[in-house]
Amino acid sequence: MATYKLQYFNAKGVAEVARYMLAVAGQTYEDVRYNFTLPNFEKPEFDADCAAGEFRVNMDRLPILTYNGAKIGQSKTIERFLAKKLGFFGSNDVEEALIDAVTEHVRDIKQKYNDAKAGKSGDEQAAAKAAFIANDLPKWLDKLEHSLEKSGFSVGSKLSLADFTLFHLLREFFDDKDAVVVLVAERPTLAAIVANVEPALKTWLETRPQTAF
Amino acid sequence: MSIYKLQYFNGRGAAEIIRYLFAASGQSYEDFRYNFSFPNFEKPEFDADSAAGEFRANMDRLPVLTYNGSKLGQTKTIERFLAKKFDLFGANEIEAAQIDAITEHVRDIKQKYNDAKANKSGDEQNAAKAAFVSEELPKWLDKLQYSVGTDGFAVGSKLSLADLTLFHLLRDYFDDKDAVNALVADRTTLLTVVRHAEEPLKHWLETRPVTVF
Repeated sequence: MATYKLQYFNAKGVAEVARYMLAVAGQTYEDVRYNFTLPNFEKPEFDADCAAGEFRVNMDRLPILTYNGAKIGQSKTIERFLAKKLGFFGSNDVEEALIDAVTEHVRDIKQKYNDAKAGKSGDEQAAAKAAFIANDLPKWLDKLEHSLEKSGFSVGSKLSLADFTLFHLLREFFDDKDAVVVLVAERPTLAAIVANVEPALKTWLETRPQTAF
Repeated sequence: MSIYKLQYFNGRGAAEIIRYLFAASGQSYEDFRYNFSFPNFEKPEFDADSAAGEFRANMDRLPVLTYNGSKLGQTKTIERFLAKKFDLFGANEIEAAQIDAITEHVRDIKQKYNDAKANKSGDEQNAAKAAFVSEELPKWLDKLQYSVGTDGFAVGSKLSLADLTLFHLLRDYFDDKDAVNALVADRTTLLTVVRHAEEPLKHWLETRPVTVF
């Protein structure tokens, strides 16, 4: 029987989409979470394991997925690996590429948001984030809306990594959730996808550890 | 007519590793290039096609790969799609994940470089680029080496997308090629991979269009 172990911090962060898929597929796994303290992010257990070379295959970083003893690094690599294993990567080569592309679109949008707020703090950063959501995000969501199928799923006829990635962007990623909820409600294709993902994730969202980020 | 058509600007840019894949595999394709003029990046043919909805599946951006009539967007998606088609994605699922992870490591390093030079220009930018290459890049390359195989190929026992991606980073990406060549020369594992990757790319590197970027 296949064994899965996911190592990350005690957070949603960049591991959460992987956890979504494991939850929805009902796949048991060891959900290893390194503790840290705020505000200085002290993480002695992680530092010790890192110094011992545990994460060398991933340039000393997390997350890492260990599958049947083999260590796989990089959050997006892990997502694609799990999508393939758990049946969330489409029914053929072209569907797989279309799903893959949606995850890259989402990645680009998150990067634009990060670029907008980078190097700023306090009120200046809050203003930059608000401006992005008011001025840039709507245009990106329109383009995203036009690139997706109209079936209630991003690609094909069942839930895929693309749908989980969209859910994360539209319901979990931004701080101003209310503003983003409004934008999604105005876009029927995105709204339908979110509505299809929600029931599948319900139990996980209700029972997962509550964390700072 | 080729079953593969690649549309991008007349530049290496984000399409070059895709072109490496075609070159290394010997697969023919239509290498369609949109012209643009400097310094204002005027691109009327692209603008016209974009307005006509040609690139809607890719949020109105390039590159786009047309494969048997299906339009696939996003540089990295296209790279992974073609690598699988051309048997440049490893011998099994674990090797595939290791190759995928190396491409993500390289992506992270390129992002760090971009972050270092962002929002700067002229001398300030040159200084930031030089500082990155002399102070940050060596540490990243040391970490990267641990993910790379010591048999002459990045993963397993044959050429893959990982080798081509490493070649792009180490020989085709930075402006200060001499400085980066020196760093590679100090790192045997990376140097061996680069030398092996050069072989199948030799003809392409000698005959490809010479472009501004």
